[in-house]
Amino acid sequence: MCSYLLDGSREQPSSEQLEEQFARAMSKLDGAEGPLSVKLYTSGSFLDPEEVQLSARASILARLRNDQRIQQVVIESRPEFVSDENMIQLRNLLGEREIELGVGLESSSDFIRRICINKGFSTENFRRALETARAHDIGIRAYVLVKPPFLTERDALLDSVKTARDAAAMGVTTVSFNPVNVQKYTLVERMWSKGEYRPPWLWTVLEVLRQSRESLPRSVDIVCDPVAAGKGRGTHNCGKCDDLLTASVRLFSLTQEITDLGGVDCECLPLWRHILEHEDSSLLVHDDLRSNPEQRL
Amino acid sequence: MEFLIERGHDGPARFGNLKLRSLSTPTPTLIAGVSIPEVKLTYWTVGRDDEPESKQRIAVLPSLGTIDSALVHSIRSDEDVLLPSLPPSSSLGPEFAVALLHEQLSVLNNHGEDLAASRAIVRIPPRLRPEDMDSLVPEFSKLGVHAAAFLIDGSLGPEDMRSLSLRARLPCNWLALALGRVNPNAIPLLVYLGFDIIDIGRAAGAAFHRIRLWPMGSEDVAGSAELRYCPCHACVSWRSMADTPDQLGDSTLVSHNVGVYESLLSESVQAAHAGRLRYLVESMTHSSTAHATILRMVDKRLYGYLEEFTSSSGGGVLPLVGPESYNSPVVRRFREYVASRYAPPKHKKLVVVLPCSARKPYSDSKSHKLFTQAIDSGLHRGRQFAAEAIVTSPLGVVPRELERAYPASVYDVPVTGDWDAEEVSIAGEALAVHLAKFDKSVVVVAHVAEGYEEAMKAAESRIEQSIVYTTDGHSATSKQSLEGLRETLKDLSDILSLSPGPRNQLEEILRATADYQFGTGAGEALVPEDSALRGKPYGTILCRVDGAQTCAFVGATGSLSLTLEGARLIAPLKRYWVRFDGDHIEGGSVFAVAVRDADPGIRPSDEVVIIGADDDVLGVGRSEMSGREMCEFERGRAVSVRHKVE
Repeated sequence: MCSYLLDGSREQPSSEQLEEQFARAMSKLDGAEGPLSVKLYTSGSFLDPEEVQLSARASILARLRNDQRIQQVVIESRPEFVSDENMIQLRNLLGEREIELGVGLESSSDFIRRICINKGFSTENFRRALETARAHDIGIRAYVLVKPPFLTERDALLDSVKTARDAAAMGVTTVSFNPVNVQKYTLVERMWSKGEYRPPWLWTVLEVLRQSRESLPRSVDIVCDPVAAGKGRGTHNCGKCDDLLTASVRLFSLTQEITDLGGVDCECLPLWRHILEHEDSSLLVHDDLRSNPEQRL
Repeated sequence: MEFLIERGHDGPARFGNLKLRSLSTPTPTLIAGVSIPEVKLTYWTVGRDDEPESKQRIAVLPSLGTIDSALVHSIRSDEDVLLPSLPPSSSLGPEFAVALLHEQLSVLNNHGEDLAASRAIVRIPPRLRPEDMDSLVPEFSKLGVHAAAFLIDGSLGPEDMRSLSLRARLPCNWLALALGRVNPNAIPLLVYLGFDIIDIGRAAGAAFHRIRLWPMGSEDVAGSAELRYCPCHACVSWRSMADTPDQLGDSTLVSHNVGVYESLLSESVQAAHAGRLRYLVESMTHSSTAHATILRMVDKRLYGYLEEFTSSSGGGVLPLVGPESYNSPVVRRFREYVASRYAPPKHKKLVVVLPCSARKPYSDSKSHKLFTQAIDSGLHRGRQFAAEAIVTSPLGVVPRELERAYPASVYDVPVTGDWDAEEVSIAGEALAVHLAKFDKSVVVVAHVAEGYEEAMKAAESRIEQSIVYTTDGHSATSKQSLEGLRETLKDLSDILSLSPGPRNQLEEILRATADYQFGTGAGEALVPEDSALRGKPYGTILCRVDGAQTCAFVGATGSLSLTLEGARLIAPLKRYWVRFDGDHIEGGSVFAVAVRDADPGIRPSDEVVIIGADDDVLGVGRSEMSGREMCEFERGRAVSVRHKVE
């Protein structure tokens, strides 16, 4: 799915470079008034000392501590780095601030995480990390991947909803849905170009949000900021309803109101319903190209 | 699930009867999801779709990884079940396909109490290697599985070719499903290749894309100001209410599309009953280049599969319209049989090569009557030394003795005199192989023009005999050419000093037909030197040895039927035998269940010898199925018995 390996720098950046990069980003907040929330999206593990040296980590956290405007800090990490030692460090350095750790659970099904995503940890690893963080009053934001490859549209829909429910039951503070987008030079791109993968329908994303919101406690936030929405490589529908529906997804992420979702009755809805049914029984991937030969001519 | 295959074949296409929850469904048939109520046979995904009301239904277990005991337990115990798999990907290698089959085996093993294997349909991923298919299918058979589903992505490209090739490896008695995106134009092809159940979910998928499907293509309703006329019920009632394309509702489109599939299925079934399914499939190749490509691939790579189930006789005219016919199984088999089985009589000193005629059999045509006159008058009483070989496309070469054999007597081609490169090469190859069977001293008299002459020239470098051309740029039936033929033969008759003698035309026809039908050596075995022959060339010929009839040649079919005496003469060749499980045949049929073993070379409609445990002949008859089917089927008529030991 992700191309982070390719997006990343070829050489390991030094501690100083990371600190400098952070300082530059923070400088954009000059003059902003509090309260602020800072999210460190590293697309990796902030707590992995091989990715972010301990010195850089300490320096960045110290900088956050010294900024009184900052009330909330979100960082990302794989579960294996969520140790008591690291949690103590976070808590000590950030004081009473609200801390949330984003962890890529992707799916609560070990089968799907292993076979379709190839991510080397188990749901049990995730649960233990969550408990460890909670003991230090640090919340967990579960990233849920909507429609990894090798699933039908309905498999993907049902798995995302189930994952949200399982994550909430384990005690996450936020569920963040990430519909797959097709990145360059990835397996998913190869499958997509051959008509063997289609990013999730926006209808699927909407349905995932709706069903999750209906069944999760209000204390758990549900958010989704889809990448490349409405484009061929991102979550999309027929092209006519994409903009309105994407806007409704973003609005929902702010308001958490189910009534903000959708609001369009597009003619592609029955097609999506048919695909949910037909992909399950036939295992045929309904890609955009071959489904409509007339468009090819 | 109970699946019975009934009588009749047209290539691998077969007719069957599927019993689902005590309801019988004739196959081939169509299947679709719960949202297309027009289609009786329904699949539905357990735990996800609403349970259909229809009794004719197949339950689908959703993707691997979501299967638990409660889900399996919830399926009615009399319902058939599609096993879980994953959407296939060409990016994952053949090992992954093997893993998917192992997963299905373990679902059967883990949920055996709730899911009897006899109810299961295994999903075969397109990327499965043929050898893995061959080693894994028996594991499913052992458990009692006898149904498999293949994915068709609808592009009729390499991935679909993989699925078709895998289908060809399925045991004969398994039920075969084609699931996925099947466009209407593929229905005859899938029926032809022996699919029993075909998914037409595409009828709805297309409708929701605003596409109206047609037998040979499709129509974008949204993008067209003027719609094609359609007499179907759904479209007629739409037109009576409204007349603009945007008022053509989804449900009307679904009904129309389903109707197109139903109509093509019925056309295919009827064509198969009439032995004209291959012709229909060939006609459909003009619907798209992909369709033409895949039929050529099928002919090339799955020839053995097609041929094995292609009847060795046929009724009515056999149209061979274009290049898609050049390698159709009856055509290629004829060429191969003539090349490998026909042996010319040893005394021939001349081979007269002649063009074919539009009218069949050739000797009934005006042109061949003229040729015969010229040959008779040229050679006069040395006539017995001349063999005749008729050049034709796409059959190659037809020895005169075999002009009544199937399909030489019934094929029909468009005739212009111009041949394409492939036709020239096919006929050239056949001529070279055919003439190589004659002695080097034999003289080849080539009475051919136009394409026929091109074929002769193409073969020339490989022909060791001397060749005399007799048409000199004129048409073969022109006065000059016929005179040229007569004169040439007259001269040759003198040069070769052909002595007068009787012409053994009856013996030549019988022996050639016996070899063609039963393989090399059969002619000599069945029609020995001292046989007494009676009848008319190309009419009915009876053969007696020591006063007992051995066989009869029937001109109408161009084939031999054996008596018990004849069967005993053929038996030592160990071809076309069916080993009966018993020592006495009751009634007029041998059923598959009573067949212990059979020659895998047997094709439907072949004349076969029924033998007992000690190779003793118990009867003769006509096969109703291929030899492999006789062995694999538990039910059905294997042989219609003509004579038996009382």
